[in-house]
Amino acid sequence: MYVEIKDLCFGYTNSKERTVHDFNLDIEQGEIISILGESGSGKSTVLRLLCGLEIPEKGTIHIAGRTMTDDRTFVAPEKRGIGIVFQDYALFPHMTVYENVKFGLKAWKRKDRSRRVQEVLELVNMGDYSKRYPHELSGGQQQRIALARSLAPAPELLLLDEPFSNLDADLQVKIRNELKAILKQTGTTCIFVTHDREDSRALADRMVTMRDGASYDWDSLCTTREEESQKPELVRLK
Amino acid sequence: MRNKWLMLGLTLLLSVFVLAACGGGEQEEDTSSDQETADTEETSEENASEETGGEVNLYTGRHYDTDQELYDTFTEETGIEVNVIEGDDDELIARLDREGEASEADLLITADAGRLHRAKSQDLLQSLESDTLNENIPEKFRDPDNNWFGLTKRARVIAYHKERVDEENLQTYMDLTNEEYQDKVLIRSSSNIYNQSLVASMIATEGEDAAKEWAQGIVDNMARDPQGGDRDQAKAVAAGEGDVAVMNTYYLGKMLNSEDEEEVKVAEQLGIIFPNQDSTGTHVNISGIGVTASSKNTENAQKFIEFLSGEEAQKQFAEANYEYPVNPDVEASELLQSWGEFKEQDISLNELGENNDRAIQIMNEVGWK
Amino acid sequence: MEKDVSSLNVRRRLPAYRNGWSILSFIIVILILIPNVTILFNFFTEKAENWGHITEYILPDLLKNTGLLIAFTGLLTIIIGTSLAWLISAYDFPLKKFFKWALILPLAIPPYIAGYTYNGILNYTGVIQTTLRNTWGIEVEQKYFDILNLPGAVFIFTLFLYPYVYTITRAFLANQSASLIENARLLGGSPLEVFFRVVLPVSRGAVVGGVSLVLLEVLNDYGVVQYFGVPTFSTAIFQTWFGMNDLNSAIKLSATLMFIVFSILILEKLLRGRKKYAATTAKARPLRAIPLSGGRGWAAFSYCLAIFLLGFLIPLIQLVDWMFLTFEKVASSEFLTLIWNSLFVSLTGALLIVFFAVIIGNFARTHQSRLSKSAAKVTILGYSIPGAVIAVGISTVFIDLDSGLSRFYEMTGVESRLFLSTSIVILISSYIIRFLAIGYNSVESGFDKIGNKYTEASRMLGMNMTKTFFKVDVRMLRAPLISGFLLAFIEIIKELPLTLILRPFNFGTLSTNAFKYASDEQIHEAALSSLIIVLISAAAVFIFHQVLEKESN
Ligand SMILES: Nc1ncnc2c1ncn2[C@@H]1O[C@H](COP(=O)(O)OP(=O)(O)OP(=O)(O)O)[C@@H](O)[C@H]1O
Ligand SMILES: [Mg+2]
Repeated sequence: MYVEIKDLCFGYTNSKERTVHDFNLDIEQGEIISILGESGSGKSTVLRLLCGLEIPEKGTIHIAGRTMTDDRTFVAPEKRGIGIVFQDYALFPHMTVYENVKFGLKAWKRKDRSRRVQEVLELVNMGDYSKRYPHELSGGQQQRIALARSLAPAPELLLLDEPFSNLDADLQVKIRNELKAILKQTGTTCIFVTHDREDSRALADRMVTMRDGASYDWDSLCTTREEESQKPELVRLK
Repeated sequence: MRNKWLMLGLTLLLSVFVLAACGGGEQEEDTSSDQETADTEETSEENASEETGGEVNLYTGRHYDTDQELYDTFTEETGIEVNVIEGDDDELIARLDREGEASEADLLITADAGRLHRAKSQDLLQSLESDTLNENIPEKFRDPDNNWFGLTKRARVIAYHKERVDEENLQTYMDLTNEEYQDKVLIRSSSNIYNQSLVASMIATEGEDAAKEWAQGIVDNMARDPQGGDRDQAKAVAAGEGDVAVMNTYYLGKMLNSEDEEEVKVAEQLGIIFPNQDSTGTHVNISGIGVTASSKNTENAQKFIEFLSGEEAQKQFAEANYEYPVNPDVEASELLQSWGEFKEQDISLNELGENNDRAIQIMNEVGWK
Repeated sequence: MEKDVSSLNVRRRLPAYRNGWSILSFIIVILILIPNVTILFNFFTEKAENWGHITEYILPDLLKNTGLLIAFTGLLTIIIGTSLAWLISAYDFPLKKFFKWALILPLAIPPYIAGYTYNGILNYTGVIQTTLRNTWGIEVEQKYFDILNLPGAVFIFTLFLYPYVYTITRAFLANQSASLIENARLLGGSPLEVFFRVVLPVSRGAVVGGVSLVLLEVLNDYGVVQYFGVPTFSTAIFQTWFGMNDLNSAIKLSATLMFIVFSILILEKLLRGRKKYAATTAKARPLRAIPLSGGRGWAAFSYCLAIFLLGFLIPLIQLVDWMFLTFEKVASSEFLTLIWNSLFVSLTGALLIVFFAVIIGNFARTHQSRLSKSAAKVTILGYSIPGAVIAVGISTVFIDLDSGLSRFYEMTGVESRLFLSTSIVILISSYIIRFLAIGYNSVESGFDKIGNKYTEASRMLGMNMTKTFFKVDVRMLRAPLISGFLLAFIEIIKELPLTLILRPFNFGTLSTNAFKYASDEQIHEAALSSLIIVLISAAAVFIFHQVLEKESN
């Protein structure tokens, strides 16, 4: 397995309840997984745990055979080689679009950097905007820059937190298709959180849903809308 | 990688501290070089001083510009450099105590005999035998064990409004508690060391009960809650808030010679009484000096004290600061002479220190703010 | 699904603490704790002889005075600070641009110097009474001009400390509340209604933050209350410790004082409510000022002018006057050294304070845990204890340190056996311990404002904490860092008790020089050094304002 998450438990320091509870998930290399679930069910939190931005109370995380988190180990976020698009983008306000995207390319050869920046900007249809500052962009444009920024260093594992929520339908379809092509071409493993089943179906190889902080296999949950409303037994992922 | 940053951080921290320390060092050199450029004539002497003089380190609770001039004169004459830390008497003693054996101070000057006694009783001073000092300073103003030596005297006297007060009825400290001066007495707070020593001296001469009775009487007669310094008491008399004030002689001297003509006018309205002339005498305190127990330059320290007790220095003390010189061969300033001779309290000045705690308690007990 | 906070949890978190930032933070925290703990440690080793006497005769007065001072100064600084902040942010009137920063200037005058100066202006030989007397022959009732009492102390504290409330509240109003207030206006509230029903409640956090700084300053003050004859804890601690030589009673008093301080801090926390983080999406919009017409504009102008005159210009002019009176007598080339010394310790101290504050601040926000939160709390410790008490703790520690290093000194040929404790290192360390809270507050609020998301984004793009800090955080923190630096700088250059007790041989600063004269009732002679302090701090205040302005644009 490329990504192995076992019995992950976590609660924020200022809340009494656990947000993530015995979460299990295995992902193969190159697989694209989508996570669905109600608002507040802990989807973003799982991504943060994967990144190393939060430290789990229990459980282990292995990525590409490396132990990222267990009882003895904790690999710092910057050393995990994961790319992420945050739900609120977090574009650096004091840098231009170009500088934002170039930020993660420090391991690249100097001469390759601007070519790479231009490449990913083209991918998200933002090639002409490289000199702008984030606050001079619309919400959807900011989202695309955030996507470009995370793609730029070509991470082996890419996490996307509702990456298309601010895009109009046409653009959404276009970008998601191009994204899928790139991911498949580069063999990037990807986990993305979404509320949109269309996205999920179009992009994901497998769907997982979250409830009460644990994960459930989407296929076991339902395959069609009618079935979903009947709330069948859930198959918990082990 | 992590360790690298940790090391970097620690080195940075350390280097900043070292820099700060060096900065301090440089800085002191700057000071001396500043002085050198300021008075180039001295340079040669200072060079000479390195061969002969050495240095002497002084903690002083007196901070008059004229004192610094005296130290400079001393350096000129002997080549011994005087390093100074000025501070509050109590804090300097506490600092000496903390530093203990390692302290770099050679000398301690305080503006109160009680403080010198405290330093002595905490074993912070050492005894010094010197014929010069025995000659220059009357026995009364020396510690019996030669742990400290008086330098200047100041009397705590009564200042009164010349027009509103009949001085006939005002001859003793006790007279201040008479009904006549109900709501007329001005005196500063009990946290002031001069008041503490005054009460301590009364405990010594007349006993605890009498001292407490006096303090109670003063509190009952106060024109207002104690506030401000000695000068403020004088001003309050001139302003009519009260008629009589207790203050140290030299403050009056300074006001009479102030650069502010209004202060001069105030002082000119005041008469001065040396209390208790027919009985125990007027309360006299000293500012004095002692060699610290930890001193590493005792010889220089001795030279310094002898210098300060000598005629030249004593004259300067007397002239510049309106204090009475302890050296009987030196005359007080003209102004002080115009106030006349007076009988001094005859107690061992160490008693001011011994009774200090009790004095504070008494004043607290009678509600002296 | 209760969380289990087991030992496992702690152990798991450990690896995340193994980085330079957290280790440095712990070192700093320990350095700060040691002197304080040293003092408390003495608590158990000596017995208090005079404690009975103190509780009977002194404590009631102390509590009364302290209570009154805190209550009235707090109330008045809130009234003046918030009303000025509101006028300046919400309205346009003559000279408003000038007042915007001029109203911070009282911060440049140390309260004890202000106290001496006001007494000098108001007393019998002061300029007011003298003029009345000599020109018109009017003798006035002294009690109307008497400032040396509790109300007088409140007056001084209020006038010279309100800028804490003013600046913090104004910054808040300028950045945070535009939509709320504009809505309230649109809904037809009268100006007063808007102020009391919307502005005050909304800016509660900022006001409380400012006022607690004011109150800590008041509790810590020695100079004013000593001169004004209003005994409080700091004077009583001095008297019992140094006067009665009863360390233990002094420590008990300090403990009582600390209890009061912590009550204030807890109260602050409660009143402040949950901390508001900057809005994530909407860009903060500055409040648009409404022009005040004619009479009302001039009324606002007069109010601001009155405060400015009382809080800055009048004392300044008086100091200048005295300075000319005594210039010949006191001025010498030595002043250049004094200025250099003052600048040197203030700049170094402020720089290190910001440096340390950043380390702890960055640690505290990236490791959201009880441990990091307590580390942050420790920074306030020094700010809450009277300077003289800290001084004793620090020098005790340094003397021990020196005796531990004596072997090293011998080896390296250092002659002094108290090398560190008689060097400038001890002085600067004491400033750091005393004023770290000032720098930390600034840095922390800066961190709060930017939140964690940029840092996290940067780390996910492969930058470690340190690189992230320099490439991302510092760029966004520039304003808070500079303001923290300037505030610390102003505090240090005004500082007296620590400098007095801990300075090396032959080392004076402007404030010790001012004290030298003032302690001996030579107020006029103290004017020159006081004036230089005021001018340097005023310059710092001006830059501070410029930085804040730039940030809000
Ligand atoms: N920093 C935090 N401190 C405390 N609780 C938090 C924090 N962040 C999130 N939570 C809580 O944890 C739970 C899960 O949050 P999370 O952001 O993971 O939800 P989500 O599934 O991503 O929701 P959404 O679809 O709305 O983005 C929520 O109940 C939320 O309130
Ligand atoms: Mg989410």
